[in-house]
Order: sequence, then C-alpha cells, then structure tokens
Amino acid sequence: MSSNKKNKKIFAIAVIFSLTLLALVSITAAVTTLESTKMNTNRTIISRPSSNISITGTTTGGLTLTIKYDTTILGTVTADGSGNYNYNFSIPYEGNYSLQVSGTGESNAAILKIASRPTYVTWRMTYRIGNSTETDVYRIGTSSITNNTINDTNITNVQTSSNLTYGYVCTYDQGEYSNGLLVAFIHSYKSSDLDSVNFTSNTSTNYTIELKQKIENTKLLLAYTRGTCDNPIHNKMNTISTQQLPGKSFASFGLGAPSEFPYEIRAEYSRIEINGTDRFPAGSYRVCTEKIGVSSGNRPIVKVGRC
Amino acid sequence: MTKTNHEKIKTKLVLAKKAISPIISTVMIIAITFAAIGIVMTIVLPAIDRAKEAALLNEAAQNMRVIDNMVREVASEGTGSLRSMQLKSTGGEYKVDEKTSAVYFSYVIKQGMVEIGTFVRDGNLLLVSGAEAKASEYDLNGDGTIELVLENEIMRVAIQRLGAESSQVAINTSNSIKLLNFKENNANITPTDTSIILDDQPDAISGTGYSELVKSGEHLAKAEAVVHVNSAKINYDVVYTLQSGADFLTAEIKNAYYN
Repeated sequence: MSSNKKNKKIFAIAVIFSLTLLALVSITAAVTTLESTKMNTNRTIISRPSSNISITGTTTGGLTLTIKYDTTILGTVTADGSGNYNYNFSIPYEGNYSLQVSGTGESNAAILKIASRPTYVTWRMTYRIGNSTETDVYRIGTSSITNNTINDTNITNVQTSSNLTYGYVCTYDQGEYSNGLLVAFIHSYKSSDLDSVNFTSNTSTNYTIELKQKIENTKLLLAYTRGTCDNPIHNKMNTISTQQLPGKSFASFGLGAPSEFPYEIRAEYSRIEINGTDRFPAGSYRVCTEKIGVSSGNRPIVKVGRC
Repeated sequence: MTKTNHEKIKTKLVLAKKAISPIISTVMIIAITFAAIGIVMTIVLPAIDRAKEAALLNEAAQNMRVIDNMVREVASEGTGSLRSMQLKSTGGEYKVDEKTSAVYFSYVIKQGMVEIGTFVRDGNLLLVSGAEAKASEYDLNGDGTIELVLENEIMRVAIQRLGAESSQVAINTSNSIKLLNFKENNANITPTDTSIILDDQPDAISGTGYSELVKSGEHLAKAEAVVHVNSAKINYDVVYTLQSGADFLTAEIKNAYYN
C-alpha cells in the first residue's frame, strides 16, 4: 500500500517535471532575439503576434534605457555593471511598429513587423524524364504500393503522411538511360511535419509530383541522380531520417564520394589588393612580397611573385 | 637392457624428424616472400604515402602562413616595403590570383589525410577540401536569357534570374527552375511547372520580387540562390542550395509571413 503511494508520488513528480521542461522548451523556442547594435531603421524584424521578443545589448554600465514602439513605452531596463542588458516583451497585434531603444547617448531603432506566418508549403514539379513517358515509372514511399508504370495514363495518387512509410514521391526512367535516371521529391525533417505526397498523370507528355510539408524547419530535397526509386531512394531513406542527408558533407543518394578530391589552402584579402599571377609547382623558389602603392579604393596593393 | 627416460625421449625426437621436401620448402619460401610483399604493398607503402601527404600538407600550411604574414606586413608599411622567403614545395601548386585578390595552395588529396567536405578557418587561412560547387550567371538552357546557375560535380541547376532588390519585377514560381542537368550523361529535365503554394493559397505562386545568387564564385562548399516573392497575401523567400558532391537540390522557405 505504502509502495503504491510512493510510486504515485514519483509518477506525479515526473509528470510535473516533464510539463515544466516542456513549457520551458516551448518558451525558449518562441523567443525572437534582437541585438540592439544590429538594429537600424532599414532593418525589418519579423515576429509572430504574442511571441516573446528579447532585446539584448551592451551599453554604458548602469545606464537606463527606454524601450518603446511607435509612441508606446514598453518599459525601461538598466544595464548591469558591465553594460549588458536584456529586455523581454511581446506585442499581441499584427502590424508594423517603429521599435526604439534609447538612453543617454544611445539610440537604436528598427522596424518591427508583427505578422502571422503561413504553416504549409506545397512543392510542385511537372516534367518528364527523357523523350517520352513510355518507360517512366513512379513510386510513392508507402509499404504497399510499389513501382507503377506511367505511360500517358490517367493517374491521381495522393497519399497522406499516415499512409507513408517514407516521405517521398519518385519517378525514374527504366529504358532510356543505361544506369537509370530518377527525379524525386523527398521530405527532410520529422515525419510529423509531412502532410502528403501526390503523383498525377494524364495523357499529356508530362506528369506532376507534389509534396506538402510544414514550413518550419523542413526542407525539400529534389534528388536528380542515377538509379531507380527502389535503389537508391527507397533504400537510402533511413539516411534522411537519421539526418545524414542533407546534414553530412558530400552526401549523395546515388553516387559515392570520390577517392581523390581537391584540397585548397586559401589566403583571401578583402582589404588588400593582390597583384600578380605567378604559379609555383613543386620546387624551390625565392618569393617576394612588395607594397607597390594604394588603389583608388584606398586599399594597399601588394605584389606577390618570384623575386 | 632398459633405456632411461632421457634416452626414450631422445629416440622419439630422432624418429619424429622427417626430411622436408625441397619442393615444399621452395613453395613455402615463395609464399612467405609473396606474403611479405603483400604486407608491404597493402600496409607499409600506403602508410608511407599517408605520411608523405601529411608532411606535404603541413609544409603547405606553414608556407601559406609565411606568405600571408609577409603580405600583411608589407601592406601595413610604406610603399616599396619588401619581404622575401625561400619557398620549398614538395608537391601541389601555389598560385597568386589578382582577380580574386588571393594566394592559393592547391593539391589533390589521394591518401585521405583530409576528410572530404572540410571547410575550416585557421587564422587568416581557409582550408577547404572537396568544395567544388559553383554559382554563376549565364544562359545554361540556351533560351537567350541569363539564369542563375548552381553547379557541382554531379549536376547543374538553372534558376530563373529576375529583377533586383532595387527594381523588383513580376515573378512566378512556376518558372523558377528552368533546367536540371545531370552531368554524367548530360541528361536534361526541363520542368514546365515548379510552383510553390503556401497554405493552399494559389495566389502565393506569383507576385513581385527578384532572384539572386547568395555568393557567386567557384570552389564553394555550396552554391545558393534565393528567389524573393511578395505575393498578394504572403511574402517569402525560396532558398535553393546545391552542396558540393550532392546529387540533390535542397529547397526551403524562409522569412514567410502574411502581409
């Protein structure tokens, strides 16, 4: 009996802890942070209605700053001994506001746009692979539907995310290219952020693929590579779910990384004008650098080459 | 006469000795020799090559630091200021490029001493491997108009080039992607519709705006173009990214909000 009570207590604490953590995470995620030093009147900062906005900056230690939009004073904040300050606020109504942070000898302003954001994007592409659709095939990332020939027939296949094992719609040509050639729309990010994929075809010379996903955080991958929809697309979909694609450098569906690749060490100069075109292959050389003047843009001109 | 234990063992050992056939011994020697050669070829030589490559890259980094210091020193001094060094190079090529105002060391990695896709800043130097993306403007599809062309080792993508920030024009996302080119077999895809629809609102497909390359140039880690669209109800940017070595174009919506 007492053990039961103890378990219930632990469970309750765990629930409260999880909810608090969740609330903290959601609050943190919604904050729009502005650095006052980067504010200028030509800059528009966009935030959603009632989202948390945080203004941070550095000024004279102990200085009190007034934060206002248009003529409405939001409040004041006093910088700490090191001059750092942070002010949080939110505006519930949509509109364009002139946001200003001011104090003695300090004034930063920007346009603050409070606006709603759209939720979904639908990507569409109408095309064909090769000269005709006769040898073209499509596949959607479900477990039950496999490859289907297109061949100028009327097809409308819409699959919502609940029916999909993987978020893709793919087409490939199995006749015109020796190694196969494919085009695919692939959803990248959480499967819960995918709405649907769609393949449509009629008697015209082209067909259409569509992928609808949430805008926040997601990406569309438009794969164009050799192979078929089974291999590499379907077989490599785990690389999408594990975020190796497109996160990993030099990642591809159908082609591996080369064994030999170029390497460069660059010394690039934006405030110095380099003069010279010499090349130095393997060997031993005397190399000189000489300042030969100043350009019209007031940049020093340095000649680099063989002495 | 009984044998002692010691004598018994000695007798056994003598009996156990059998002559080895000269043929078998020759075969064994040859086999051991081949095995030794195999080990040298597969383990020792690559290890030596890797060490050589590592030494070469260290030498190059050191040389580039010296050159960079010389350039910055004379630039901060008066006209006529001069520095010199003895450049000893065991491989690769150093190149002065006044067009990009830069000095480069380039080399082809063969032993994997640097991981592909490296993009690291080391002081004033930038160390880049396998960065073969390219962003430029030219007429890729031959239709007589200039496109924003994103290119890597595998593919080329032509994005419609329209307007500028200061002179925005009518824009329709159904024409955003003009051409996909797969370099291996030079196969082209010419989409007739690449529409982007936000929140199922068809009028988000078009509006006014412009398109531009984020950064033009060669040897980039990624080539990027942005299409800015101000439609009747929603303003948004479409960012197209082609990473070096990728056989896919990445597209995402940024800065989208209702008017």
